[in-house]
Amino acid sequence: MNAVPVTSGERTRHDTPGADTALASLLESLLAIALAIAIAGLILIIAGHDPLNVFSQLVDRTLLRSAGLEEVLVRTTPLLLAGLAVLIAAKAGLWNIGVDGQVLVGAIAAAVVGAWLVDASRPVLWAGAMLAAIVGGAVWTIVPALLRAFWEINEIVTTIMFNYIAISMTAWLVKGPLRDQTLVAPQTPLIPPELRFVGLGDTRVHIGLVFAVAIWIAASFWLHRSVAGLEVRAVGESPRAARHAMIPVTVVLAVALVASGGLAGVVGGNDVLSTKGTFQAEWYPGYGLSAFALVFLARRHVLALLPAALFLGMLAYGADVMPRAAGIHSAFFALFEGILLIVLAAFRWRPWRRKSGGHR
Amino acid sequence: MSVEAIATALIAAAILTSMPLMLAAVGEAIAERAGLLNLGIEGSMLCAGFASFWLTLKTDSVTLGLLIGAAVGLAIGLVFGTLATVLNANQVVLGLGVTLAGTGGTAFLFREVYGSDQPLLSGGPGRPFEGWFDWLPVIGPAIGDQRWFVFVAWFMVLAGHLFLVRTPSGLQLRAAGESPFGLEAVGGNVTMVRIGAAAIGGVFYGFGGAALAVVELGFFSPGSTAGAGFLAVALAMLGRLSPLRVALFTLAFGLLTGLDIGLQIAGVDARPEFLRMLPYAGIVIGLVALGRGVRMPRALGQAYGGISSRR
Amino acid sequence: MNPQSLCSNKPATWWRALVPFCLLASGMGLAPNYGLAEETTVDRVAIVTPASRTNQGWDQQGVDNLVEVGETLDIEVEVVEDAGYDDITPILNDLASDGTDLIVCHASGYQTVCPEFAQESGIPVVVIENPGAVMDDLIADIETQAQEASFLAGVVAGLETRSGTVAVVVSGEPPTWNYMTVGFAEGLHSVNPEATLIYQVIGEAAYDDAPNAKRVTESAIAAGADVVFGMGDGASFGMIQAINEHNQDLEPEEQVWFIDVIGDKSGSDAGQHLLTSVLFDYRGAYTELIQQLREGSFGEIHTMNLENDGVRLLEFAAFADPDTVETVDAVRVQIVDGDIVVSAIGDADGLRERLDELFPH
Repeated sequence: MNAVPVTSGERTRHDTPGADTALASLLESLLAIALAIAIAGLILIIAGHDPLNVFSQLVDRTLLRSAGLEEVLVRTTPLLLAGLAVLIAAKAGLWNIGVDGQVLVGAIAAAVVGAWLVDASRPVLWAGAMLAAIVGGAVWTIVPALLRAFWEINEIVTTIMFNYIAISMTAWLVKGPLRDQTLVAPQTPLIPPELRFVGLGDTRVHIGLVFAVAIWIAASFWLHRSVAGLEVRAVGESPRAARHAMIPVTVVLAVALVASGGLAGVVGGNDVLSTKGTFQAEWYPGYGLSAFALVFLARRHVLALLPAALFLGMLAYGADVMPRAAGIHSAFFALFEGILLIVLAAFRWRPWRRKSGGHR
Repeated sequence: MSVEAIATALIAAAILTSMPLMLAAVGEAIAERAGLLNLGIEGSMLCAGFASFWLTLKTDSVTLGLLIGAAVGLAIGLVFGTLATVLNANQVVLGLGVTLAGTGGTAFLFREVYGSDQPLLSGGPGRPFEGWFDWLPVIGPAIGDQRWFVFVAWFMVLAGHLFLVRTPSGLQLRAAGESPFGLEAVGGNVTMVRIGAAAIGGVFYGFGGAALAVVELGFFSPGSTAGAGFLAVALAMLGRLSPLRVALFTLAFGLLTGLDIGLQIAGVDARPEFLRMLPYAGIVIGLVALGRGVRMPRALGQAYGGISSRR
Repeated sequence: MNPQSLCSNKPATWWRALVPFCLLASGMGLAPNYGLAEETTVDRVAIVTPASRTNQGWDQQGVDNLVEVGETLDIEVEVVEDAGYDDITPILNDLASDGTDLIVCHASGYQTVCPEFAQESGIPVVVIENPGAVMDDLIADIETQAQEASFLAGVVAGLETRSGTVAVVVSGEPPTWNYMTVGFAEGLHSVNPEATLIYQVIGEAAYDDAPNAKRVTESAIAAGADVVFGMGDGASFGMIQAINEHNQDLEPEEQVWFIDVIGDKSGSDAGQHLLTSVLFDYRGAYTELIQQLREGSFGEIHTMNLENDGVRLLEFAAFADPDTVETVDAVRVQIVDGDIVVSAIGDADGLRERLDELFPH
């Protein structure tokens, strides 16, 4: 069949770890980061930069300044949600590589509904826009989901194709029927700052972070404490066994992918309702690949998603400030995330794990 | 300008632009036949493209540039293959990592090496068959006037196909993807075969990325592959991993992409964004029409842990 | 005179009614002068651009012009490039914390985020193509009437084309470029109404998509265009490369010529195919803005047009016809005098309508 297993033969008891394997996972993640830093540092040296300066500047600007810390938290919110989206799909054994497209569709839906609700009260506007975002992202995933569930057409390819279609479609929409005619550059009508997500206290951090954390907690419970979550994980571990257990595999697969898309849509809604206030024609945040780095840094454990998201949020903000601070082009951080992913992927071979199960 | 001339030009453009994509897609098809799913093609093509551009700029030799591109592709392929087999690395994650690292890395290196400049290559490989096929209307000149590397690429595709279906090594490769346990049972070494497949695929991607930079474009700029790596995976699947079929679909895709330009020239008043959706929607429709129930190699994407690991 | 002296210790009760008035008056005397013009020191100016100055176009011209102005006025200039279209507020905050006195937001995509930032932080900003956002002491706007200069470019193209087919290739449809496309088409039509105009958009925000730019330009050349008016930023290199390859071994009369925008590429490899360029010169606008900020009259709309040389045509290539140069000079005078009025259409739909009117197919 066309499915590419997410687990690829890995023993599944690592998904719900006991205390010792949780500690081992954490150490592995840290080791992976350390290795990635070492390799990246080497590249910096070859390129003629001083890695110590670069990394110390990075930590200083992102974590040691209050403005930096606030920005990191702002960046963490969409990443946490995007990672959650990828993880939900991964738990069902599916690869959702179309997060970027789903974010775009969710964002434009939220922007339009939000602008339409501008006369309503703030909670109504938020609820309406976020609902639109979920629906937008979910709708965008329906075709790949059905193709995968019923006709076993690989979702990797279909979700990627839908990314490209999303870019063209949202561009056409925002330049044409959904455009704010009073402004010259194409964007949807603006949601005024006072109606967007409120800031927490005096900081730049906004309530979206609270929503994201709440969703994350809810998702964790759903995944590990509900029947539906159990079914999703069962299908992910072994579709054949799940079928034997009378679980409707096709339905679960379709629902999981659509749910994943809906979550990705929420990312778009979050960005529109917090920092952007509108959907602009040339906006492409590209959370998709970072979301994968996130999920695998968290060793596919839902509880580890938050710290992993914080780390990647730090890298995301770092990429913005490092060009000025240390003369390093922001593309370097994409390189770093890529190296991290490669190291994490290679960490399947863990000789220190031989005793706790698994055939290797 | 006559309709004929415009048609010829569009077909010629489609042939040229589909050539790097064709190499990448065929490379992926070969690798997938052995059970390796490589999503890192984009990164490999960018690295190969950058290396070939750099060397061609230095040495003024397109051939050398192409060769170093292939070498870079080969190296990355070997790394991918080794990690995926010996270390049982998760192939999808590995591939995405290679793509991310390759995209970021080449963008970073390009700025480091060239700063604010965007050097251009002049000249480019020659056209040895120019005018030979002019007797064939419309298509003839489109084929005949191509640069020599296009013919090399087609030869490689044909060679890849023959290798897969006619040679014993090709059979081993297909077995590694279809039935790895069976292969091992008859004495084959699944790991080595897969690494070999990754290497062959790597050479294809390397040539593809290099050809994009020094044959098709005449320069390299960060991100110049524009998603070709992912399209290659899609086209490989569409062509059911058979090199010749994959090549055909790639050509069709190239023509479809050129269609939006052709329609714009003809003055058809469709918004360009609509037209740009067509090739990608076309792939999805193609998958629905042709991909249902298609059997991919049974062991695609799965790590192979030896006969003892059979569950 | 101190208002308080009016409220000295007088015993009569009715004076007490004056106390609130006195306090108010003294308050006004001591409080900062909101709304009244005030001189500001300007030592540090920053510019934020979406892409990198390597594209030798939009981003480069803004940066280079500001740097030059900074050197002349002895002001420190901070450049932030590659800021993209994501949320740039952290960058703006970062600049603010470094003590920047004025921020130039060099992209129409920043048209809402920069005014919001200015109002929140109190730091003056300059936006482009958003005249509705101007605010005293806080937000100024630059309008680029490039359509006038591109009208001239259209005239040049119309006179210099040998095949009668001219192509306009763009890598996006931001308002600044749409103005130029329309102006170019009108200029072309004014001297060569029988010409064929090919209008090609490469992709969505494809400012760095040189590969597709090359393919599109090749198709346009195949369709017979021998003058290409290209707006691409980074993508322009693709266009130039297509022309470069086509022109190999051809005589100048048979070659395809390129009209560039915004920057001056005549010194580079690309220069050999350059007919002319619609140059954007921000120096006048930037100098005026900084002076206004210093004097306290900041918050206006600045227009760059043919008259103040904010936009103009680059000196023509040697292979251009001398008669063309004369004609263009005459037309320029007509525009400046108001005898010719060039349409100002910035949105994509309006652009297509106008193109259809001028060159129906």
